Amino acid sequence: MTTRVALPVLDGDENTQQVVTFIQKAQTGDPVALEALTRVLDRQPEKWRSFGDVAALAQSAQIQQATGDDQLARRGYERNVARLRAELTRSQDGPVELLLIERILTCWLQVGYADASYAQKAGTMSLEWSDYFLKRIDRAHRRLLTATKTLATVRKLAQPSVQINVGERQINLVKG
Amino acid sequence: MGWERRERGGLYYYRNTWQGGRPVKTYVGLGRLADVAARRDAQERAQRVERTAADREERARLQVADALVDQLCRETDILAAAALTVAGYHQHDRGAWRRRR
Repeated sequence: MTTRVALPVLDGDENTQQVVTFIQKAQTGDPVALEALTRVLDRQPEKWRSFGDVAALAQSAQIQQATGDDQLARRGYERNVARLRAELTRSQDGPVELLLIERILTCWLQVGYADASYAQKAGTMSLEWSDYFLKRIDRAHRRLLTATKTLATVRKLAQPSVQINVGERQINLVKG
Repeated sequence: MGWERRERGGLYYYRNTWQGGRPVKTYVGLGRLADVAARRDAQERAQRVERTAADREERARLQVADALVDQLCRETDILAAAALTVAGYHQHDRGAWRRRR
């Protein structure tokens, strides 16, 4: 006889914390938590949308910082983001990878603006401001590095390998 | 910074500054010359106040924008961890991801 365990419904603000708990439990071998995690990844399109919204909002805020009311500059930024998005995206990317790409784009915008604003103000800003900007640049660069590393790790480890059968032979193309 | 009236009459303008961590009071003058210097000082003071307010405003704007990036990074980190866990990996001591046995 098998025991059916009710899986928690994931919605509301506790989601993120619940997912963290599931990750911790699943990593210790808890099958229920693993099943719940799989559900999170497979069956929660509305949650993906909310993550996507954060990404869009964060990108928009960075572009607004950099361009102010200059619509032409804003369009230029948006085009560059779209170009970079297209360069980073692969056909086999799932929702996690696509979100990680959005994260990279956001961090890339942040690095660009942090560098540019420092260069613009350098020489006229106070020592305290200069220190603040340099730390901000440093943090932004670290975030960008981590973002690219995370995408690379997920692509390498989490993407399924592709199996192609050519005649009698089976060829496995592994992970992106 | 300010004007001082002396007993013998007349207004004298002094400028207070910090030098080597100590307040230093410097005599500027009296009459028309002092008036011009006082006005210029007031203008510079107003500009400094304005600049400080603008800096504070900019920092607040940057913090709002950066908080969104932080939130996105935190949440996507969690999603990536979920994807890797479901794929059969575990993170060793917050470091490399290894295949679960």
